[in-house]
Amino acid sequence: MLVQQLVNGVMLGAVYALIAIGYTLIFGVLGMLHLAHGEVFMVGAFVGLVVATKYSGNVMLALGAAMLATGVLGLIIERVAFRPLRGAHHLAPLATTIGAGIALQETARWYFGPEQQGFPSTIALTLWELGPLRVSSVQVFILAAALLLMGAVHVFLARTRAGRAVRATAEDPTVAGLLGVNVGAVIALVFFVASALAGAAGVLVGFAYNSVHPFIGVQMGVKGLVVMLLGGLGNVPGAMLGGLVLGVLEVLGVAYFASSYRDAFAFGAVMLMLLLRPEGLLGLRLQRRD
Amino acid sequence: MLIQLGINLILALSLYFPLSAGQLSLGQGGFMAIGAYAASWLTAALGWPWPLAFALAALIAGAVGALVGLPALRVRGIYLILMTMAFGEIVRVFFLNFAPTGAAQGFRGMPFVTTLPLVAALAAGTALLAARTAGSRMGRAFAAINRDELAAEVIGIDVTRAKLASFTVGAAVAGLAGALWAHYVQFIEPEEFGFARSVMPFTFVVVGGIDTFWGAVAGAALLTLLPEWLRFLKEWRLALYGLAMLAVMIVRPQGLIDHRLLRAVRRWRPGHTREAA
Amino acid sequence: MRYRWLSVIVAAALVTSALAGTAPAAKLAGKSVKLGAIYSITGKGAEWGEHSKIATELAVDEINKAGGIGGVPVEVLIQDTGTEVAPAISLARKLILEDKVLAILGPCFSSEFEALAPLLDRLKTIIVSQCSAKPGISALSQWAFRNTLTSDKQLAPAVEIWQKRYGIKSAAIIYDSADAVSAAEGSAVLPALLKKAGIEVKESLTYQTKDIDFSAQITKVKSLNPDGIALGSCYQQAANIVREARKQGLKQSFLAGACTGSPEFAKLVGKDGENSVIGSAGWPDDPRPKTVAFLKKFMEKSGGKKPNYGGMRSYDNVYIMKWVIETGGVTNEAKDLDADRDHVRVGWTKVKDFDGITGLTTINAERDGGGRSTVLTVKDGQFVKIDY
Repeated sequence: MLVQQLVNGVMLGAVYALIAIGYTLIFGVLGMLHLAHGEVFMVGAFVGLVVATKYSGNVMLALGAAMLATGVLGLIIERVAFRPLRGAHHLAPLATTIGAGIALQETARWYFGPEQQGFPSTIALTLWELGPLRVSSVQVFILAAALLLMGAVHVFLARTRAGRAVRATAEDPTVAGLLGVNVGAVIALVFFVASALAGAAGVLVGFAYNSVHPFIGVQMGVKGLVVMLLGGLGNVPGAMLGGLVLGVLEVLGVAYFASSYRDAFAFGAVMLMLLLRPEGLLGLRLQRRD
Repeated sequence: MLIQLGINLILALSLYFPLSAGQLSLGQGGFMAIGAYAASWLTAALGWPWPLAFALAALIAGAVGALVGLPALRVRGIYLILMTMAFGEIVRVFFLNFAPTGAAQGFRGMPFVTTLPLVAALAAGTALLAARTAGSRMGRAFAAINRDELAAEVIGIDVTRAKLASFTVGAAVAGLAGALWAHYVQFIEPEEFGFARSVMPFTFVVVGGIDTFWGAVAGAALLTLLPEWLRFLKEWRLALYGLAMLAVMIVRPQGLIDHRLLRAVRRWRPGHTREAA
Repeated sequence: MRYRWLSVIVAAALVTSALAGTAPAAKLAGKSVKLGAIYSITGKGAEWGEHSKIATELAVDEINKAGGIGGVPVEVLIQDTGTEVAPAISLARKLILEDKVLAILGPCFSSEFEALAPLLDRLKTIIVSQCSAKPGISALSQWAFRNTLTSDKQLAPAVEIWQKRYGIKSAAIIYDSADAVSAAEGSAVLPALLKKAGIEVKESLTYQTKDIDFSAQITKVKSLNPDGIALGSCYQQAANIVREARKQGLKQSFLAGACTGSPEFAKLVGKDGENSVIGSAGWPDDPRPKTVAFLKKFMEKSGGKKPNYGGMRSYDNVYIMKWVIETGGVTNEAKDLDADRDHVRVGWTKVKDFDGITGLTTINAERDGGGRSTVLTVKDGQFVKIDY
């Protein structure tokens, strides 16, 4: 049973990681928190739901559409809630993103209704027995998609020109600007990528747990913050690791203690982490790769 | 409505105290929960008279604030935000599992105490405290730390003590808001004091302006009354509330009320009083 | 001679007025009969509140087209609690103290009801819940009424049917410890009923309302391999638990109660939930003519959604309210408000065999709805009634 529970934890963790990577990328380049990131996730889940329902459960199409839509949404949020505030007090974007988050929640509530909705069960469910372990096709798909996306982000940051620009901006926006990096474009790019990842996470959660409703972003956003912190602010591999750690912790907590302590693990870990190791699990920063 | 406004005002001021010393807390919901549960336990289970219960509840919240404030001294900026957020959530999980106060099912049985005059008096008292603090030695120390911690230390301000004091007072005031709230609705449950509750005073203060305590007052008033004013929009009400918040911040990133506006108001008196933009 | 005619007329008048509801009631004073409603139109109980709102508006429309209550139109001020307790209380207070309503319909959720009920002795106005099912909480005040079956009554026949149909000898319980009625079911109602039926409870697991991942609980249940799984859960999470179980290869039958009794549950689980048994308090596809007529009108207003039993009972509640006001001595004069509120309270204790869309309604001595439980199962994404 323990092994099976670990698989459950990894599944949950993979989703947390995708959200946290977005947070950490944005924090890395701006040094600011994006408190509507959870709502971006929610919008992704709904777009995925609509596309999957309309096109007879085409998962890949749903994923692609959701990522594109949330990527664009990310650009809009950057334009509206961050750019006008550059140079203002560092708390100001917290308020604008909370405002944007409320507006997104309410728009979704108005358009889709407040009820929870589930994805059509489309990926034909196959179960594979691996010794004591049982893995379903849905799980394999979600894990594969999450890993693939994380790998893509890693390659993007480490190997591409644009990725180098992102890292340079994270290191020092002024210097990067002087060296010819178009900082505004880099920030927009980061918002696009980060938001698309959150959108993908939304679709995956929809498929894995069938829970899509307008207020799901609040909880996921908070979990994403926790994971970002566990991984170290601005640290992409750290966010991946942090996601897995939190997912496994939560599942084991529910399995061996009680569900009412679920969040205690997440936030207890945060408190400890801040006191003992504020630089995060890996203790690395975005720019010092690997 | 006005009772809620009063409680929100006190809650906003509870965040103003630590913020005036440069410390943002996203865990006021946790302190509010402690105050609410402590006061309710005292009146409902032990039958204490409410003034005593309220006072002790605020003291307990303040004491917890001091305890949290100590480790929080080590972290700042975004780390402090996340740490206080985690604290608030841990308090919520604690009450979620704490059987003597009903755990997840909530707690009831407290008398109806929170009348409008009481709330108004306590809100005015808190505002007065904030005003007096701002002009006092301690208040100037807070402001100095807020501007530049290192410089403050150099000119001989006991930064540790001042920060701890600001945090403790803020926690006690949030505890008082919790006690008032609990004796208004006469029922409390852990989920009421979650992340959303902690975000509330934060938006009040940031939208109102973090320069002076007038900002906290203005922010709490505007953001509590706005959803009521927008009632005619029916289902679009809250969406517009969110957009309004966004718009205010874009137009006035420093918040509605800042030093400049206050100075302008003072200069223009007694002739005209300018509305906040 | 003259006297004989007179006595016939008097006798006829007496007979007519004795047939409750058929006699034209005394004309009420005032411009309108004002009622309040506190429904959970947003938040976790959104669907319950939305259906209650639609059904209430339907009933109000019908009544007003037919001449109102006691000759004056009825007006229901519907407020949204957000499925949270604090707003439920402050809204009830506002309706009673400021809007001066005669009585309040709702709230649906037991958490809201349980918190509000103890305050009613002071507010002296009744509340009538359409779906709160946690046993025992109407006892908190003589002003607290519920026109629905408590979950022990909903589940009792369901447990027997479940046991017989699927040969259940052992079970695991999964319940929401943060939701009032689900927690009562999971920690008290189900253990007692299962024990009485001789079913062994192998494990009792909890989750929290906001959880979306139930994999840990299902994996644990799987390792114990019980014959069936009993849920204390609202329909959203219940559906997700069922689907998660199927994902992990569990084929067991599910049993569920009050908060699962929404047609949305059947829609969400689809084929995965076809061997489940739900103890409930209303079936939207009931072939009674009254219910059929209501269903048609409801679906026109709801965009094709079928009502949950909270919606169905809200509709009945407005009509019962009409009967109580017209026959209970209410004058609707502003000066009589306190007396009128008490008349309404007394009237509700006398409701017996009221013929509504959920069948015959009787309010019992505990001020809860009596009658038979409706046991449902899922077929083709719809609720189907199991006769017993």
